[in-house]
Amino acid sequence: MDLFGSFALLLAFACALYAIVAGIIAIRTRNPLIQKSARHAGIAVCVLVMIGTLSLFYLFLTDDFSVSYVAGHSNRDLESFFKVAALWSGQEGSLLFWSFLLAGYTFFVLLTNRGKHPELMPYVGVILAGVQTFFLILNVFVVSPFQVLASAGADGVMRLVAMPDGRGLNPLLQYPEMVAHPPTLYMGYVGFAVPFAFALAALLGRYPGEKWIHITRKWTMIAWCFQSAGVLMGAHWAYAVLGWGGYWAWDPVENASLMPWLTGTAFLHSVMMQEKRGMLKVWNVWLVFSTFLLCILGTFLTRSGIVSSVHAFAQSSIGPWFVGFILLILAVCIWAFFKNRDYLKSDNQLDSMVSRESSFLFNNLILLAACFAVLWGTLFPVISEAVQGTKISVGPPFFNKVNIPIGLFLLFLTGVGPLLAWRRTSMDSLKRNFGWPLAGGLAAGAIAWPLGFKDFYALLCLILSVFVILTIFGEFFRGAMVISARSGMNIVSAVGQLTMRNTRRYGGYVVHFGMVLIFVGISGTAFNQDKQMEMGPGSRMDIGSYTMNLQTFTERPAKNYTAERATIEVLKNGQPLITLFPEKRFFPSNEMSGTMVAIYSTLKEDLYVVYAGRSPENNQPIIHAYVNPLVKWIWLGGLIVVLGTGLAMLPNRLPVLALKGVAAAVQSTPAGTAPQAVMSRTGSHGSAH
Amino acid sequence: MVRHIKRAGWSYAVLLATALMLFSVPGGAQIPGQSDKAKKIGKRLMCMCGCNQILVECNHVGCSVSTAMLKELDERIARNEPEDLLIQSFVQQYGEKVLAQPPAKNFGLVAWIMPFFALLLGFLAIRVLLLRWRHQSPTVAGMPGAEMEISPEMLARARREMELEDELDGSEPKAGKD
Repeated sequence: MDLFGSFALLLAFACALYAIVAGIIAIRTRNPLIQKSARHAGIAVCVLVMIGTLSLFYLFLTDDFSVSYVAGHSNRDLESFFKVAALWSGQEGSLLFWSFLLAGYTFFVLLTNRGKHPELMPYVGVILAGVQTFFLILNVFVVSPFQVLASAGADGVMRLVAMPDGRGLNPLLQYPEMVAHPPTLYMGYVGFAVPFAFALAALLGRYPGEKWIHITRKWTMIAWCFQSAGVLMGAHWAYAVLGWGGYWAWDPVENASLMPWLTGTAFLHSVMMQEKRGMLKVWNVWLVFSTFLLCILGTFLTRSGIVSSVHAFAQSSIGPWFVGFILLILAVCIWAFFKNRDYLKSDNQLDSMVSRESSFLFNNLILLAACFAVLWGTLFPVISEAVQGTKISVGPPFFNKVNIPIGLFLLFLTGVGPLLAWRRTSMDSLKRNFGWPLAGGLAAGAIAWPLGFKDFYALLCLILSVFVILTIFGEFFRGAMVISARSGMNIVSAVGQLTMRNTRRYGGYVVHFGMVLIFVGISGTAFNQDKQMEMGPGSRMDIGSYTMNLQTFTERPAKNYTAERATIEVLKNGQPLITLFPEKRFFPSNEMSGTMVAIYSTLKEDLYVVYAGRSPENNQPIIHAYVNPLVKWIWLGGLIVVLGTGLAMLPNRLPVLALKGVAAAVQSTPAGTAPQAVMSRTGSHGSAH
Repeated sequence: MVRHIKRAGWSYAVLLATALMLFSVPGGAQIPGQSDKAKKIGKRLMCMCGCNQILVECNHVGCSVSTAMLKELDERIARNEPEDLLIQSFVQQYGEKVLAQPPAKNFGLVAWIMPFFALLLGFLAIRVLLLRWRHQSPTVAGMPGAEMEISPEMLARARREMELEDELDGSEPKAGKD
């Protein structure tokens, strides 16, 4: 099966090269037969990469320890679903998984656009095949997951060997969420290749009209949704497994996932200026390019070993390959831009400083500043070592100090932006739209201050969160009242109709609401408490309003590990509440230990209990307990963000006639006349948020 | 791992009481780095075991490096060493990389300045862009695909749609919001 997999990947590589060459010839000659052949080669690449990946899955599931990668990342006692997850637990497999997901995206793009956009799709096919070729080079020639184990016999001849059992999966990865988190995050990373391909294709081919930007936006939303879910699932995994009491440590791996998310978010906002007003075309194209480049840069940072990370599970010396690929992409983007920059000329100019357009500019600035701060902080240890010879650490205090003010300003803009009108907003409108939400936010702050919300940033976050929530609910309420007054339906049905009338706009508000909940959850960090004690049976620890009585320690043998488990009775305000079972697990296959945190979670706070090991002095178990307020709001907010994005991607139920940028001209035209203007019936990208 | 169980019944209470009598230990021993001051200072230092984590947040089971560092921290706190002097002693011992954030001096200052400098540059760029845009007259012609003839029926419908949109937004007429 390893030969079968290797051969499938080699064939995929050959087909990818053919797809590039045939695609370029098809673009030059406009020969439909060659174009069709290139497309078929692209689809063949996808099928072959899928076959290669399924071969590796098979090798894992059948415990074929003659394959080096399987022997290094699995063992016989590993649960079957973890054997599936083991595929992406190391360098070789995770890069193959990249290829696999890219193949899936490409397959879907090529099939769903068959016969559509004949000027655009050949370019898209070539670009996606180019990206695929890079990863196939790595899969086939650099870090093949199908390398077999061999040793020299007494006669000096190399012979294949199979280990009796594998070394097992890293304990940190033996957690159910790791089955879902990497694929979700990778769907985000890889997904950004599709909007990149469409944007670059439109620029290279000078594709007429604005259709490409709608396609690019749609694919960016899909990738962004996966990236959001992947980042939050990663944070939840870190919270539940790493056992340090937090969910975000500004680790390079975490930062790498956040950076493309930030630029992708910026694009999803600024793209509206292009769709509505034909502005910021250059900016949008570069945002899409940057987002994809950051995906590759993040992969490079975490795999090259250039920056140390607490959870970089797949490091090797493939850095130069990524540097070369990044430089190549950058060179192509710059060349395409300078060659066709006149194609990206804006159609409109700004009418007023106080307008939706200017709020989007500031929104983009803030998101990019946050992205730069994260990138700068991540790279600074390397830069400092190169400049002065000694390494300067950049830990969470730096990232928090720089990014918290930036994030709060962004939160403010989240409330302000949607209330500003396109083109121009009057002072009356500002007062009318902002009066109540602002008063509500300040009132919330005035109530929270005496209740103990003394931390400046947490208090500001609360005020801004209430302000944004009130603006969002205000938008829903005002719209629903209009629908209700016109149609006579009740307010709940009116909210439903309003939302489905313009899913993109109201889905966007739902996403904003989810983000506010995430901000509220993060603000709870200011009130975290923790306590660590050596505890024997009968010991007691008080933390917050909780009392923990340690009852017993037991050993619990399992199939793949042995667990030491503490049984802790938890009382709240003296009343029995729950029994928690934090564990420390020992995995004999790789002689590594891991923790299983016990969490009692409520909307108000989490009681987070870690069995941190035994004291080296007296062998007493050490229990580390945390009270982390509002953490659940983060997961809840994340869920709402994903649901809101899904809602925003739905087509409008009632098609709306959108007037693209010439609304004023149409409005000022006397009834009965028919001006030259654009009107389009919009479904999926209706009258935009 | 969280296991929710029902509240203890009588049998559970008897078992618990027995266990408490058998293994009664009046409070466990304290471990290093637990005082408020140690936690505060410990957040300014990195663990030097290579985990790339804050000293008081190193989650390595039985990490000997963080334990030794926290013990030293406790000892220095017990000797009433000033915070800055205490931090400096760790820097002398482990180098600048023991600091959890770049020092606000020498090259470390660049780390702090750059993000805000970039933000400032961005603000200036936006201001220049906005001013440039405002000095140019807005154009309507040249909109993408602005060549379609609209029927009077279509125009009337568009007008109705726009009135509804304005009403939904609560914006002033002809603002063109959304």
